[in-house]
Amino acid sequence: MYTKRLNRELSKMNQSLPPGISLHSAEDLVTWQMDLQVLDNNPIYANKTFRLNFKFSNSYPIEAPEVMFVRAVDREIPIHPHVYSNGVICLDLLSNGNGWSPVQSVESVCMSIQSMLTGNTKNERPEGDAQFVLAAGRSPRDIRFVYDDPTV
Amino acid sequence: MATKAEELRLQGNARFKLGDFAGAEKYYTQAIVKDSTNAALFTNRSLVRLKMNMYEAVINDCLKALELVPTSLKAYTNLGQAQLALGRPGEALSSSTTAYKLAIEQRSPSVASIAGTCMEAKKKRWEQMETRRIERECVLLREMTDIIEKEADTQVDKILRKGLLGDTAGFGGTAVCVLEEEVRQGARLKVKTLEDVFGKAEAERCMRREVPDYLIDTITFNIMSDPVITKSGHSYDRATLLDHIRRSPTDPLTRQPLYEKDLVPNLALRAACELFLKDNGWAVDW
Repeated sequence: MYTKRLNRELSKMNQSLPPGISLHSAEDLVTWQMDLQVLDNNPIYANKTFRLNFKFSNSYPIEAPEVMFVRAVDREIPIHPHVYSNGVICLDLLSNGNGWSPVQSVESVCMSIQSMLTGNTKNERPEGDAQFVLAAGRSPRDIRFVYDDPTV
Repeated sequence: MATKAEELRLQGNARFKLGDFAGAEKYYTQAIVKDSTNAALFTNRSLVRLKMNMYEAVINDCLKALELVPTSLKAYTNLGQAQLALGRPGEALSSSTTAYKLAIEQRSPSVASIAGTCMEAKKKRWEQMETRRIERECVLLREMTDIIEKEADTQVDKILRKGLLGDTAGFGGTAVCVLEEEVRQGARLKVKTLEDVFGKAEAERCMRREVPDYLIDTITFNIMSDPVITKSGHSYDRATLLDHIRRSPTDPLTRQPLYEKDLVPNLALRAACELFLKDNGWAVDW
């Protein structure tokens, strides 16, 4: 199921993608990279492009993909109260359990993250970023975040 | 007797787990000799024979198992696969559809894979029909071409005979060979037009290969085989939605609680999918 679904997503994305979202690489059906820009003039993200790394398991799309920001040439980790400096994103949508839904797609996840950045006004990292990054190593989908701020 | 058979069955299962299919088959056969009333022995042997590509033997085992237990899910499942492998998609579809219904009733985890066999059978059935249709059209084209050429032969024949008899009054002074060539050319043009018409129809048939969105499951992106509707009004293929519900009992779109008992078959959509697949078997791989 997952091969076909990913292939269809890929061919759809090759035809068209929303503004500010582009496919960087999809060489296999395990890892894809997407580039993301924030379109309005949000000063925190102006003139910057960010890279998202998607990792799929055999159970995709029943199971959520693993999605993180990654560093690369000219690509940094965006500053956001829900994005840790190691690229881990704290977003309900990306957590297995009741956050993820199999009707989501790579494209819709990119759009959600794009709008999460667009709406942000705080130029800061999550609380406890340093400790979190030190303790990291677990799969980001399995980290239990506390969603204490529904406005972001 | 039965305990001896059970012992042999367990030995067969052990061989099967090791991938020693021939060994497993022998044990199951010995077990059946001891006790020919246990359907599980036949379904086990049918599975191992399926792995060994002994499809006719699989069918025999499954039919025997079904005599003993008419609602054996495993027997219908293996039967469908063997029939598919033997190029009998119509029979395979009927067996797999029964297996699918039983799997739903028995809440078997193999629902999705059985649904896959059903789809494969539908595709194969369509491919057979397509092959037959193309053969029919080729025969028709050949027959029509023959008729045109025979008609031209008859006309040429007439012209040549008149020419020989010197009865060329109606020819308006045109040479016999020129008239002959005119007839031949007319016939070639007719044949070419005919081939164009046939070719165009075929090309159009291939061009229209797109599945309408409303027949597509938004989870697998496949055409649906057994759509069920949720409270929010959206339809999904039952097998995949069950997979999702097992993990998270929520409506994929609204995230409201959703349980297996809430799912209602969408019969109209199912009929639409079936109708579409009947004429468009390629859609299974689309």
